[in-house]
Amino acid sequence: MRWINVQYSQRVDVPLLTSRFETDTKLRIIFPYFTAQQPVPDLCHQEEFECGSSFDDVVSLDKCEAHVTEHRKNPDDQVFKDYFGGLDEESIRDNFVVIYELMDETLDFGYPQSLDAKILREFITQKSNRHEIAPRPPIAVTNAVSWRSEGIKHRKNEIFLDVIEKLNLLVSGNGGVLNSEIIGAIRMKSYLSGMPELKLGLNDKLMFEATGRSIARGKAVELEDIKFHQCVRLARFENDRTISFIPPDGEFDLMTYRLTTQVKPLIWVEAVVEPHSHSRIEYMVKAKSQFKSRSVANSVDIVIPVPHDVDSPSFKSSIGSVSYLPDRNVIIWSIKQFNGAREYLMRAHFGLPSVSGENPDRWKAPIEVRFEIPYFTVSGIQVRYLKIIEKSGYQALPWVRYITQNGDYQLRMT
Amino acid sequence: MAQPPPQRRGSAPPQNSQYFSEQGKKGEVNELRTLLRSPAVERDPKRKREVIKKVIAYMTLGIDVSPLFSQMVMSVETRDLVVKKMVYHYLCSYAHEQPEMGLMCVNTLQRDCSNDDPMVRGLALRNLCSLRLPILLEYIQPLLRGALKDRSAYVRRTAVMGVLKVYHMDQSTVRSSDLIDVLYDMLRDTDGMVVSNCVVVLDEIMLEEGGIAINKAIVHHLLSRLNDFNEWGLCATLKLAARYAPESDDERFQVMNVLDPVLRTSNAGVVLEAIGCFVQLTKDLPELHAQVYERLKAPLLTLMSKSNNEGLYCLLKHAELLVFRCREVFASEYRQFYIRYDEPACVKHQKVQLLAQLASESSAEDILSELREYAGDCDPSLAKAAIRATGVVASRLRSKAEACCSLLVEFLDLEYSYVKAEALLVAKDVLRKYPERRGDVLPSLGRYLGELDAEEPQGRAAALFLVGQWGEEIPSAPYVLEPLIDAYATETSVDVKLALLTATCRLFFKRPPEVQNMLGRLLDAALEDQTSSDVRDKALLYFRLLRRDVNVAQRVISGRDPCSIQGAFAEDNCAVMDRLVDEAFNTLAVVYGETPDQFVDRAHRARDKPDADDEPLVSNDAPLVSNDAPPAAPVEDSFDLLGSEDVAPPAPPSRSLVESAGSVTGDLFQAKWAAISDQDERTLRVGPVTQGADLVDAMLASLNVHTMASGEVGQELKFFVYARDSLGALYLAQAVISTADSSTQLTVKTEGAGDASFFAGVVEEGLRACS
Repeated sequence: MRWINVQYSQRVDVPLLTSRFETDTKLRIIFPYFTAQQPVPDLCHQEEFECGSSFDDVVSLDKCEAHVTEHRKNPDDQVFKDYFGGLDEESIRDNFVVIYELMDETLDFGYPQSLDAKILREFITQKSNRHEIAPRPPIAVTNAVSWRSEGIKHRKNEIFLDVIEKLNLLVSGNGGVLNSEIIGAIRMKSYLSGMPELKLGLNDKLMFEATGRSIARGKAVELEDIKFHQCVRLARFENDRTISFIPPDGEFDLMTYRLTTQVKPLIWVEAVVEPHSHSRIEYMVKAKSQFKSRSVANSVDIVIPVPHDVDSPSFKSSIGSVSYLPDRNVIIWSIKQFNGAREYLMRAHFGLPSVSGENPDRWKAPIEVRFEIPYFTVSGIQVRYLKIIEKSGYQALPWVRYITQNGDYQLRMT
Repeated sequence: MAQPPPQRRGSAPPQNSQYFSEQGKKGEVNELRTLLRSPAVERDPKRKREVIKKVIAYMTLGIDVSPLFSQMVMSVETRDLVVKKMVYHYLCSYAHEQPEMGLMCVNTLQRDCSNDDPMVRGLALRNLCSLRLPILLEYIQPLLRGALKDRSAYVRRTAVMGVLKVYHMDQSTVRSSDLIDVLYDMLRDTDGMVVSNCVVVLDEIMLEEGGIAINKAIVHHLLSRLNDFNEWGLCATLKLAARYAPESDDERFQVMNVLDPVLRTSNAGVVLEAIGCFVQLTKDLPELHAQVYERLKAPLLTLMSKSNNEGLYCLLKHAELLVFRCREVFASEYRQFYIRYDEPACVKHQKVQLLAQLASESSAEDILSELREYAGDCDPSLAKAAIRATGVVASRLRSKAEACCSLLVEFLDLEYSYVKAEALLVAKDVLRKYPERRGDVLPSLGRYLGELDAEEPQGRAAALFLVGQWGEEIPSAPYVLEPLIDAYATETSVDVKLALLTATCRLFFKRPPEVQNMLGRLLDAALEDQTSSDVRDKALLYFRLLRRDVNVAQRVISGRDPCSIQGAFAEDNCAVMDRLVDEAFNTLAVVYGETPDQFVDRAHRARDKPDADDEPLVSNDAPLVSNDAPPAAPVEDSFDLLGSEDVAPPAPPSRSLVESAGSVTGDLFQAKWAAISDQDERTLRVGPVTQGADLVDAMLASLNVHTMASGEVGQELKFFVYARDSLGALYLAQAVISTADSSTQLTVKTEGAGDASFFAGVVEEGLRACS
């Protein structure tokens, strides 16, 4: 492990940016935020807790106290990543001037200033040769709507709405669902000119109740905990559950929500393991899709753990392909298209060394499943309308897409 | 990038190692100087930029490029903003080393401060203030004042930060001028960024006074502007709101309604800060507490399911605090705390602990079966944590003790010895709390003990404790001990030896004929034990006790009933948790599980500021007891184990205050004061106290009542005193003597078996002498 101090301090002896390179070249930046003359408690020796896994996890010290403030936005617009694509030793080396510029704008005397990558981009341009025109401070820096600059123009006014739901699931060894929750996000890609005013309608149960409207068709969804992008007028939502906002330009998460309802596992996997110690081990894996037959799950990967000392794998499956990854001690059963209400079987056979140091119980990793089901949401959430009003009165096209993905989807093995 | 090479500026150049000395580097620096001076470079902006970039790169590497200062100052005259920024950066790094040279760039910076472009104005002002040159203060001040009224918000917010920088260069300049008032006015600025900068700057400048002064108007104004702030501004503002105590319940609800939407933001820091606000706002309203916690539950759970592992750990730590305050909050959501295979160990441990706290009548069964799963984990520390959690569930829920015990027995039958050992350790505590459940564990105890290997001394000591405690119910008890006694010479663990001694002795009192012989052998071996003085001393103590009087020995060694545990275990540290909720919510302190004063260096701490009333006015931090007075050990003194027949403590009337009470410093006093909740308040009627604080001090000291701190507030004399009595009880008291109406309010807290009225009598006597 190597330490590098990029000294960027306006105060004596205080490295503001300390970047640490781990052996696996994964970079963690510890970005202590100083006020007055306080020290940072020894973060580096906290083995269990490493503050700041990315640029915008900022650790701050204030008064005699130390604050952990996680400054996490959409992972896509983390400032550094946004500028350099990725964050590693190489990119820091190549871009140190830009980093200095960024640090200069994002932090003043240890206090964070504007950290929104989109705004920063307007006055710190990445390619230095683009600097020939003297940049103006973006209006947004001084604007009431800090996330959107005025005078944005797009030839085609379009807005894309992705409703993405991730299913977190934990199934116990005996087949009982221990925990299931849906983490949903409405992701927008906005390419709209001017200062558009948007209003989004969902089949939100509480909204129906608030407006006293009866649920005409389909079902309404009760969203448990909703979080919004800062552009959404929260007070308005509190009053009548209307989601109204002026969107930032480009991609952002408009809202995220969470539901903890009992969900039937969309893809059910059962693995029967027959170990014949010191000679071979056999797997019989059954995968069953428990969603409607008109839906299709794409690129399904079923990851099944195996002991680390197995050899000579052989597989037989009714669909898809199976591969053994010795470095991860798993087999992956990949199925390109998994139709709803189907059931498939796979058999795997391995040899075991005659001498084994390991107890067979010791590799109890769970089965993981990855999948993506388009045109389907587990919760049943639907976009009813998206109204776009702009003073120039252009017609804009909203595109809506629904996807259900696996989140943390684990089935424990018996 | 390599480590910065060591710099040895000013040292004599080494003679031989020319190539590796600084001279080589100097060569590079010289080269850069030539380049900077060259007219060709001057003409070509692109080359110029490259050269400057190289200078900055060297600076980053740790090479001393300060000799280039004058060339760099000249380069600041440029239209290229990137070059300008780099040069500014250079200046900020080196100016404080060369103040005279620094003056050279003032003109340019001053000019830039009146540039048409707000970007340049802001940049120049920011860097001017960052030069850290106090001699520039006279130039900075007028520029700063102008910038605070600039029409561009970007410049204004930079100027606000500038005030803070000036403050750190020279505190008196800021304090004596009206800058602070200007900043207070600027809280009404139209730009959110400016406002939030004002808040943090004022907060830091007013640090000594306990941060920015808040009143209803300021707080309400800031809360109405919440939408204008970015996440950081929100955090700073919410921290203020948490400090604010609303005047009425209506206002409280008003504030809470404003804060409610903030819980919908997706930033963990902001949400935690808002949660902290809610907790503080409803601190005194227990009936609201439950509702508020219910409201906070969902946002916290959502954050947990979205966070990365570091964030998750931090959130779990906060959840732990909330659970501590109100267990019911997450009770129904316990499934959210089931561990996932790929989480890091720290998160898993935290979740296991929380699960144990969350278990309720209805969920205990699910949680226990989940814990059973974890106990089989391949990570021994997690398995142990799960077993400990089982014990916690047992001690919390009496009705589930049976289920827990049967689970523990299941663990005892697992084949891993660390699981067995931990299960024995936990079983010991559970049985101490529920002795009636001992039938589950005792019958196979001998087998468990035999199966444990030498690497688990704690587990074996726990098993031995059980044998000593309930030996009469284990038919084979003597035969459990005998092999251990025979193998005494090969035993390496002191814990096991000590436990073996106690267990054998206790068993001896219960079953003398069977054990007498082996006890003799054990004492023999232990008395000869050269490896541990503890073991030898204990054996000696037992031996002498037994020789003198077996009955006394039995009373001492077996004790009355060491088993019975009422209430919580001493380890459940409530005081720290309470302080964390109240003082350190959303800070690193929560993550560390320590209060800030435990890990922040004293020198860096703002002056301790509990409520102004409690603050000692004159603090005597030095130990009050001089070194030659031996520390008091009253318990041992009055308790002659070997000499007297009567082991009972001396009768209460013989209470008196002893001269030395140990040293109680201000910090210790405060900590103890906060830790003891029982207090005895009384009004002493003594004549008007006519003497000054010093005399009262002396008078109390003559009665062995020591003064930790004292002082005068208006019409009141305030004393913080402490004393120790002959039974070892520590008294802490606060006396407020009103000189106006000659009444004295005395608040007494006692640690140990103290008698508050006795102590009050002593104080009264002392005060009477002063009147």
